[in-house]
Amino acid sequence: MQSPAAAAHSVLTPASPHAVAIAHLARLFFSLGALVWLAVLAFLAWSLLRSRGLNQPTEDTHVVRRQTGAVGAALALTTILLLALGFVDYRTGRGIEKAHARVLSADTVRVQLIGHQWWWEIRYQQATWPFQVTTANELHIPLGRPVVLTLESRDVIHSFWAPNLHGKSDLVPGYSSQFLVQADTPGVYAAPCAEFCGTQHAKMMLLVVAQPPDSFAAWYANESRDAPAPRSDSTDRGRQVFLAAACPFCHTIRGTGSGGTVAPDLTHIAGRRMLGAGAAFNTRTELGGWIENPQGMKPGNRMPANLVRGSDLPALLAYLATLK
Amino acid sequence: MTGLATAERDALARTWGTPRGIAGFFTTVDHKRIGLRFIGTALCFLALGGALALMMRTQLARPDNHLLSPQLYNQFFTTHGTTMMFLFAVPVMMGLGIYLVPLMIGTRNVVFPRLVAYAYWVYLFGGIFLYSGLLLGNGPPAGWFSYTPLSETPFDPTKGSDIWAQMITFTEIAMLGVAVTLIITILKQRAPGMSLNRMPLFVWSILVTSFMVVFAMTTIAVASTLFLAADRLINTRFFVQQSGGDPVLWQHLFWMFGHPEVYIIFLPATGIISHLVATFSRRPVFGYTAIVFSTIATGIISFGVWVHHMFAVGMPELGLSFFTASSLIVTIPTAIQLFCWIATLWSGRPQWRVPLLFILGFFFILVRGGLTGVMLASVPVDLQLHDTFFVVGHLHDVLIGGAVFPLLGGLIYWYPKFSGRMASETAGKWAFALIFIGQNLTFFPMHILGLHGMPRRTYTYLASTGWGGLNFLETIGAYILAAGVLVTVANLILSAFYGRSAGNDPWAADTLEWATTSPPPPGNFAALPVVESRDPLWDPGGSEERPIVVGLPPDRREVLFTSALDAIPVRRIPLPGPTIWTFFCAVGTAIGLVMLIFTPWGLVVGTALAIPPLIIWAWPKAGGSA
Repeated sequence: MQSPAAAAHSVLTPASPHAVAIAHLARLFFSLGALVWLAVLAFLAWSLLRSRGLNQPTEDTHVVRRQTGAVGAALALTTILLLALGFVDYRTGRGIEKAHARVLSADTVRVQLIGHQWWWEIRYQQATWPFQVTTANELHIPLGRPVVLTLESRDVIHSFWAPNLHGKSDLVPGYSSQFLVQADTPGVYAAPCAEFCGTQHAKMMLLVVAQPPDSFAAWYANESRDAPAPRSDSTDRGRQVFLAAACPFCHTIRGTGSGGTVAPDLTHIAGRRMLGAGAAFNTRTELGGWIENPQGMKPGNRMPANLVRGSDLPALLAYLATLK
Repeated sequence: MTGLATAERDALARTWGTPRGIAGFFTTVDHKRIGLRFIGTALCFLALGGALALMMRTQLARPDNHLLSPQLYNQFFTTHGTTMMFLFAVPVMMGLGIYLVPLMIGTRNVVFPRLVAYAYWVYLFGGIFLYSGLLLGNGPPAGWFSYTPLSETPFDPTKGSDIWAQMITFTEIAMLGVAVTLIITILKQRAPGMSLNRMPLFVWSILVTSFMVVFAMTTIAVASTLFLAADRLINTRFFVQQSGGDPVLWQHLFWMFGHPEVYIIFLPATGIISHLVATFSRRPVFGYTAIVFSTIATGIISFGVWVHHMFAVGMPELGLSFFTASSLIVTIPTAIQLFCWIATLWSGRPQWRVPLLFILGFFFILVRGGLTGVMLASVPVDLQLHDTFFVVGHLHDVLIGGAVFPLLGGLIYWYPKFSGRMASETAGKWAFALIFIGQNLTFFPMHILGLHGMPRRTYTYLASTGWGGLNFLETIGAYILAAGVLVTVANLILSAFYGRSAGNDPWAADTLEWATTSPPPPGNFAALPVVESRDPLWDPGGSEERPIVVGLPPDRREVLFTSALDAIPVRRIPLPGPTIWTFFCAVGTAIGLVMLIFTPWGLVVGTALAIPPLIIWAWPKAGGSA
């Protein structure tokens, strides 16, 4: 498994046409800004340090004329610069908008992305079977193909933001908005929630996995299948533990009869890189710790203390590990 | 002045004086005492908000830190932001206005001194209320912006958001009272001859700011006091989508207040800078008219930029472009002011005193903050940087660089007037160095962190993000900054006892507040001045030759009303004296407002308790008025 540490999260290493356009624009604004800053400070330093014979606070018409000229010129320059920046900014914005309108086609991948306090529900919507596939906290997308996200929230306002791919778009309860992303470089991209959404806003991370079309297709086919049946006594007992405890009230493992929808779908939990929406890496130890004390690594999250006995934990973990 | 009998001066002191001791403490209507109270209290809240910031920075010093729980961290950053905006920045600027405006325009008191006294108590009670909530473990958890639906009852069933919304009510009442008082004082009580185009630039900035407070505070009053509080208290549905309300409506209302708020803090700072630049370059400020119009333009345009806080909500392209344009345009008046100040420094001979250092720090940091602000005006760039540490860096550049640096420079500058003694230059230089280094070390790296994807309002981060190094650096910077603030506070306190005696006009400055003694007597001036230029104290001829107003009886609280544009004397008006009823009215207001977060009966009780004292305080008396 790829190390989760590799999840990229920078505006400066864009991996999509949108992010490239924005990074160019940001660099332009930044460079011009830095120049202006240095120029202002240089003029200030010169004004303070230049030697002068003037001493009394008297108005001298020659001095006033020079001051008026300098301030007027600086003002003109500022205005021209702002107009130019405004124009370039408008063109970039229009470019991104037009690109959005152009790419939509039957080929487009459509995903409903639903924000919850504090995790992401992901529902792929396809015109062909399987019509819908549900997963959580890890969005896989095929390289080079536009993906239209339908953004919704079930509680408070969240914001989708994968810095390497595009800017932000809010998930506002009661609204449904469309947002287009595309990745041209394979990789794992972090998308931390970018609108303050309560206690665990800090641990509400979506991973975006951009992969070549064939491996995406393989992942998608696997994801659309029900959970595999247990193949050993130990894993079978683990499944019984899962079903007998409170777990099914909130979680779904397709193929087991459990159907809770208020918490992440666990059908293929073992295939995911992280736990608790980016709270920890998905290792057996961390998962065991999470189940034993759900409030430990992500205090305030909505998973209540449960009655899984310590002696049942190894079997449960063994079963969950088969849910690839 | 020498012509005036000592007897008359004593009579003035008796007439305008405040009772001694504890009675005076509760009854004073002297604008100087109330102004200093606002400033002192605001500095206490600065310390409290700063302490919260230090704890947050300590929590973020390393990844996966467990110093603060997420609940506590969220309450801390909410209270930090709320404190700095509502309890520190606006009150300290308005407090400086209350202290300085009557002195600068040459009058004896503000026009509604009792209203200002009442406003102070309400402000104080509001601040105590907020911190009581935090100490009792129920700080507001939804951010200083309190976005709905996160601040609505289903997601915050505690009293935290009620306390937040009601604290806003307290500050609204206080700041509206101060703002209307300052507007009328400035327009009607200027010294004869001080036409609008001779008014000191600080007074101009306070006038524009006060008008902004009137409009901006009413917006937040509708949003918070009326709609949000009603949603939470009596189950209205202003911001609930399923019932026909709209959570985005809150954002519009909040930022329609919130962005002008930034300029409400910044404009008085520009007023301070104009005075410091003039005094320390020994020149009248270049481009007086341009600076005045820039101040007014900033005030107006700032009401048209609010959507740049909401680009990520999703809006039609054309609407967004409008707000990009307005956000770019609002930089132009500020640029004009900056250029005029540089031109003034260029033409003069700079005096390297502590206040000037703070002005140079202002240039270094504010210009940087302004330029990162231009980046944030661009929709595509903002969509990347919005709600990241980049914005945290930007806003602390413009607020600390743009407002706190000039404020500290101003406090040192007017300190001799407040106290009669000079603040220590050495301590001032140390404080400046620490604050300057601390500010840059804390907030510059935040821009880089934002570009590398660190969202704001997060109580912790994973080690694998690689954000640990810069965060550690920022925490060190925050402690250096705090040390600088401590040195400043110690300087301000100790210099009152050990400072060199200042005399009337230690900086050889140009405006009327330096024409009287330091500290000024209760009635401000032995004789009210008449003004013939923008820089009355730099007029040829000494203090002996300055014209004065005669004919006001020294044994009555009377001031001169002048016409709004040209300051031509119109009539004498009586001003009210000390009273305890403003305090009782504020207590009644506070009881009512606090009760209101528990039961609608608070409205009844508050009215019953606050209205009788108000009637007594405002009851017309023979020879005096409200």
